[in-house]
Amino acid sequence: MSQDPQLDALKNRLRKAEKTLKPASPSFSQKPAMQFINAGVDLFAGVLMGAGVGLFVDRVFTISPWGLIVFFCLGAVAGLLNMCRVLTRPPPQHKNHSHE
Amino acid sequence: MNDPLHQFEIHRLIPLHLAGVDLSFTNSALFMMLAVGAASLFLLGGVRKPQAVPSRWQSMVEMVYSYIGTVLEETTGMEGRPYFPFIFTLFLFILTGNLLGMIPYSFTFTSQIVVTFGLAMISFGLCTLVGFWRHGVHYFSLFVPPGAPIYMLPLIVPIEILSYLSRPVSLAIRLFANMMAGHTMLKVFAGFTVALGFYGLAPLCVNSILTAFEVLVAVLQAYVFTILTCIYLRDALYLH
Repeated sequence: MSQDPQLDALKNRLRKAEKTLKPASPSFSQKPAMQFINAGVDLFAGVLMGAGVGLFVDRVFTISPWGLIVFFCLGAVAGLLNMCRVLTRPPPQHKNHSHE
Repeated sequence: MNDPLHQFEIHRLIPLHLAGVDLSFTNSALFMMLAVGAASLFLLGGVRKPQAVPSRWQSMVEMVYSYIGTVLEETTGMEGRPYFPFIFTLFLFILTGNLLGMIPYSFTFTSQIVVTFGLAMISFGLCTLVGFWRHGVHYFSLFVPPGAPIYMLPLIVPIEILSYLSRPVSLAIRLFANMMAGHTMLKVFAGFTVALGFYGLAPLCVNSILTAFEVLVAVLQAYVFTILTCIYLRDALYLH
């Protein structure tokens, strides 16, 4: 803390002003919020797809329950992977994409 | 108290059974046609008398058009231009469907998973077709991330295939879950308002805020669906 009482008073006033300002200027920006909505769904969809493929494999090859076990885990990993991709995807930029 | 899920029931307006298939005209189909009609009216009305200095309506149409064009171009580059009609139609259809659902007593067809899954399968199928059309068998290299060590491939390739296959599922569930959850929540709070009498004023306030939030969700989810389709299209066009 500084020795200057005038500066302290100013700091207090600033803190008070910031407190009243907070709701008016939320740190909620649209992009990250949108990505968080996406993230959970991606995980869920991966698990669901893995379970579906696993049940299908079980039925076709009659190796129940191994298909379900293996593909459920793989699906969970795929869901996590999708989730990470959504969360770490760089925002779209103005640039020309080149052919690979 | 009313059943909050009652709003999602499908009624046959014009029963029609052809060769054992139920082809009835339902309230869902009615609202899809209304959405197409409203979107067409919005676009055609806006460009009916095009002016160099646009009127408000024309300006709105131009803004939506150029916004989707920018989103598509930023994500897929110039190569994605030919798919603009599809992306634009998809966006407008979902947006009008979501917004029509916000009108009381109307039906939200995007809250039916069969509709959203159908839309997701259309965009997923288009992206896959475009990928195979442009790259042929080489499109399968999408499942092999660049720089992956060879001995990891037996594990990575199934994961990548599953992650690719789960795209339409996540697209469909995202839109469906958001619309369904939002509309159920609105109905639940409306039920509280009726049940609590005078104190129902509190849930009524919550509900009015939620309504505004739901409009945001309606627009945002249409945008999310569109931009994710653009991202998948980009993968199909450029591979990685």
